[in-house]
Amino acid sequence: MASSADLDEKPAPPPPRRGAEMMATSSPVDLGGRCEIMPGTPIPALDSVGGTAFAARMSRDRKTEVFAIVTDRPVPARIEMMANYRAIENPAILRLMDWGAVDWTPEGKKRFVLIYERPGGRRVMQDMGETREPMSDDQITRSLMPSLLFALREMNARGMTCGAIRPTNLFQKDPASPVVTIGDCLSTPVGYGQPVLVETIERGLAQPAGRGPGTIADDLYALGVTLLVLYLGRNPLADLDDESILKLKMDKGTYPALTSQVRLPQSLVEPLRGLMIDDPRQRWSVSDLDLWLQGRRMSPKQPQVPRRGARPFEFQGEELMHCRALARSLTRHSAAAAALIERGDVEKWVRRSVGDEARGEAMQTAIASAGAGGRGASQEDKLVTRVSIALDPPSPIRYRGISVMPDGLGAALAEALWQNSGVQPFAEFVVAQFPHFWVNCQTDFRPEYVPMVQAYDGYRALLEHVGMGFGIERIVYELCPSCPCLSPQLRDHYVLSPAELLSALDQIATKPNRGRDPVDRHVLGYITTHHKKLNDRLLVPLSNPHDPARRMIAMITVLADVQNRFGPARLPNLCGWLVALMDPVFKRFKNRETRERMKAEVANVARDGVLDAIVRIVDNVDAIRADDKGFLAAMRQYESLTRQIEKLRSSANDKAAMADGAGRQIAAVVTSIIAGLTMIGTVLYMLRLG
Amino acid sequence: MSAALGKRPPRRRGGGGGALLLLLLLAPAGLMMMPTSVLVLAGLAPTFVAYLIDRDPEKSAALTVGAMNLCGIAPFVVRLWQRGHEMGITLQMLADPGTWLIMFGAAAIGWLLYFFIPQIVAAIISLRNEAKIKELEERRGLLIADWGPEIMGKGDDKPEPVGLIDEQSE
Repeated sequence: MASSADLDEKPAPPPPRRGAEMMATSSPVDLGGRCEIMPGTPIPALDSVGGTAFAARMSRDRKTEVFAIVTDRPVPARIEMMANYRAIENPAILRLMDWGAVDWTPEGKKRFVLIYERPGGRRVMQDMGETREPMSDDQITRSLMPSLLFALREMNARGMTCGAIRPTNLFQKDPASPVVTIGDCLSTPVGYGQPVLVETIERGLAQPAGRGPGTIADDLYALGVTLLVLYLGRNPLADLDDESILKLKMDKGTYPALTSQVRLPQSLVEPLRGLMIDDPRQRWSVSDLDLWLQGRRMSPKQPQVPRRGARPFEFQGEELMHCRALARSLTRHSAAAAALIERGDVEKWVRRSVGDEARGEAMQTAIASAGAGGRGASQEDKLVTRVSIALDPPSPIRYRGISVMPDGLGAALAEALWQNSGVQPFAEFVVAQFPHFWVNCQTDFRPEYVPMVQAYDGYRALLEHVGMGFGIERIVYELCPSCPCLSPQLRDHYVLSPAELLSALDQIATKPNRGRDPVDRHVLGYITTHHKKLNDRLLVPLSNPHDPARRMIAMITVLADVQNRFGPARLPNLCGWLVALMDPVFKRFKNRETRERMKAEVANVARDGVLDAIVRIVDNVDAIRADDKGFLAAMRQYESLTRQIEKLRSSANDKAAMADGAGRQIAAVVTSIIAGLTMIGTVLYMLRLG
Repeated sequence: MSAALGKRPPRRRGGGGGALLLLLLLAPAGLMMMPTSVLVLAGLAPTFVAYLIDRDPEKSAALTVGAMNLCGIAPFVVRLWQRGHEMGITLQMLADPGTWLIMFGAAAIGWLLYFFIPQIVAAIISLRNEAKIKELEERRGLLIADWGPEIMGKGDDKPEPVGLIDEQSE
C-alpha cells in the first residue's frame, strides 16, 4: 500500500528507450478519434499523482491547448464522476475535455487517460517541502478563498467532492494572474494523493486508497490547511514525517498544531480556525465561509481539545493519553492488545481515567460482538479492531494491516488486487461486519450509512459463496464500479465495460500465449457486477469442475448474453477460442453423426463471431432430447442384437442336438424321396425290359 | 430345434391298435400273395431291426432305412411277378446271396444316409448361424461406432439431463 509520502506529483521517469521503440513512442496515440496524445512530449510540470502528463491536441478544437494525464497508479480513476465534473464551468477548476482508455504504444498496453485544458501558469508549489513567496492575506481572502470556495460548492452541488486540494495541486490560471485553478482530482480515488498534512486526522489515519469519497467538510479542511501553507509560503510542519504530523494533530488538534509556531493576521485567524476544526460538526461549512466572505463576522470557535486520560495508558513503551492514540497503538500490536483487552485493562482505563462511560459501554459491546462472522485464527485481530472502533469511532477501520473508511474499502481492495497483495483481510473485514459496528458507534448518524450497511450485508452474502461470480473478485467491482477488470489476462487492456471486456478477450484469443479459459473469477465478477440481469443460475455450473460440458455451455451462455446486451456484434477470435475448448460439449451428444454435424455447424457460425448462435446449436433442448431418445433406442437395439448373437452361438455349439433333431427328420425325408424315385425308376426300367 | 423336438410329448401307444388293424387287413392279402409276402418279409428284416432299436418317437431311423430297404426289394418283387409269382421262384431268389446283398445293401445305404445327412444338415445350419452372427455383430459394431461404447450399458444408464437451466431445476 502506498503511503502519502510516496505520492507526489512527479511519478518515476520512464526508462530510456532507443531505436524503433522511440519511433513507436513518438507517434501520436489516438483517443477515439477525438484527441491525439504525444507520448514523445512529456510535460513534467503538469504531472499528477495519478500519472505522467503528456502534450495532446483535440482533433476538432485545435485552438484549445490541452494536455493528457496518462494514469499509471494501481488504483482506479474516478470515472463515475467525470461526466459531472466536465459539466462544471468554473475558472478555478481545470476543464476536463475528454477521457478514456487508449492503446499506449510506448508500453504496448492500454492506459486510462484524462484530457484537461492546459493551465496558462505554473504550479503554485512544486512540492510540500518547497518555500515560496508568501501570499498576502488580502490576496487569499479576496481572490483565492472565494474562487476555491465557489469551485468546491459547484462540485458539491453535483454530488462530488474534490479530494485533491493541496498547495501542490494548484496552478496559476495565467502567468501574470493571481487566479488559481485546482489541478487534476479525477485520476485517482479521493484523497489518494493528499499528504497527511491536508487531510483530516481520521482520513490521515487511513491508507491513501482507503479514505473514501469523503465530504465537503473534508475539502474545506484541506482548503484551510492549503490557505495556511500559501500564506506562510511554506509547510509549517515540513520537518516532520507523516507519523509525527498525525501524532501532533491528535495531541493538540490541527489548528494549534499547525499555527503554534506562526503568527497569523487577524483576518485569517477566524476562517482558518473554523476550517481546521477537527470535529466535522463544528467545522465551518460552505455557507459559514460564504457568510464570512460577505463580511459577517462570527464569534471565533475555540479549538476542541481531545479528552485526555487523568493518567497515561502504558502500552508497548508508549504513554498514551487519548483514546484515539490508544486505539491506533492497539491496532498496531494486536496480539499484545488482545491480552490487555481481555484482561479488562483498557476498559478500566477508559472508564476510570478518561471517565467516558459511553465509550466504556461501546467497548463492552465491541468485546461481546467480536465473534460476529465466525471465530477463526484472526479472532484477536477482530477483537482489537472492534475495540479500536469503540475507542475512536470516526477513525478508519483498522484490521490486519488495512486501514480504511467503510466507504473506502473498494479502492483499497482494488489497489491490493492490482498489486497482487493478499486480500484475505479484506474478505474477513466484510464477513466480520466491521462496517456495521462502525456505523453503530458513530455519534452523528448520516443517512448514507443505511444503504452502505445494506450493501455490506449483500457483500457478505456474496462472500459466503465460493463459486465463480462470487467472492472477493466480485466484491471489488461491486464496491468500486469504476475499477477496470483486474483479471491477470486483462490487466493490460484496461477494460471498463462488458463490451470492452469481450473485445479484449477477442484480441487475446489471437495470441499464442493466451490462457486456458477466457473466463476466470475476475472476468465473471466483473460481468455479474456490470450485468445485473444475468441469470445467476448460470453461475452454478461454471463452478463445477466435474461437469466440463455444462461448465463450458454456461461460460458461452454468459458471454453470449453479454454480447447480446452490450456488444460488440462480432467476436470471431473469441468464438474460435471457445470452440477449441468445446470438446466436452460435443461429447455430450452421444451420436457420432450428430456430434460431427454439431462441430461443423459450430465451426461455421464461429466464423461469424456471434456467441449466441453457438449456444443455440449446442444447447438445443430438442437436439439433446432427440439424441437421448436415440441413445436409449440404440441401447435397446444393442441388447436385442446381443441376445440374438448369444442364442445363435449357443445353438451353433450344440451340433449333436441339431443332428438328433432336424437332421434325422431331414434324413428320413431325403432318403424317402431318393428311395421313392429310385424305386419308380427301377420298376419302370424292369417293366420295359420284361 | 432339437430341444423343441425333445420336449414334444411322446405319442400315445394307440399306434399299436392301428398296426393290428393294418395287419388284419393285410393278412388276407399276404396269404393270397404268399410268394411276395415271404420275399418282402425276409427282405425287410433290417427295417424291422431299425424299428426296434430306434428310440426316436418319430422313428426316423426306421423310415430312412425302410425306404432304402424297400428300394432294394422292389426289383425282386417285380421280377417275381414277371416270372409267374410262385413260391419256388421266391425261394430260388432267397437262395441267391446276391438277392440278400442287394436288399440288405440298400438297407445299409439307408443307415449310411441316416448317419451322414444329419451331420451335413448340422454343418449347414452351423455355417448359416455363423453368417448370421457375423451380420449381427457388424450391426452391433455400427451401433458402437455411432453411439460410443456407453451403448454397451457399462456406463451410467441415466439419460442426459436436458438443457443447462432445466438440469438445475431438477
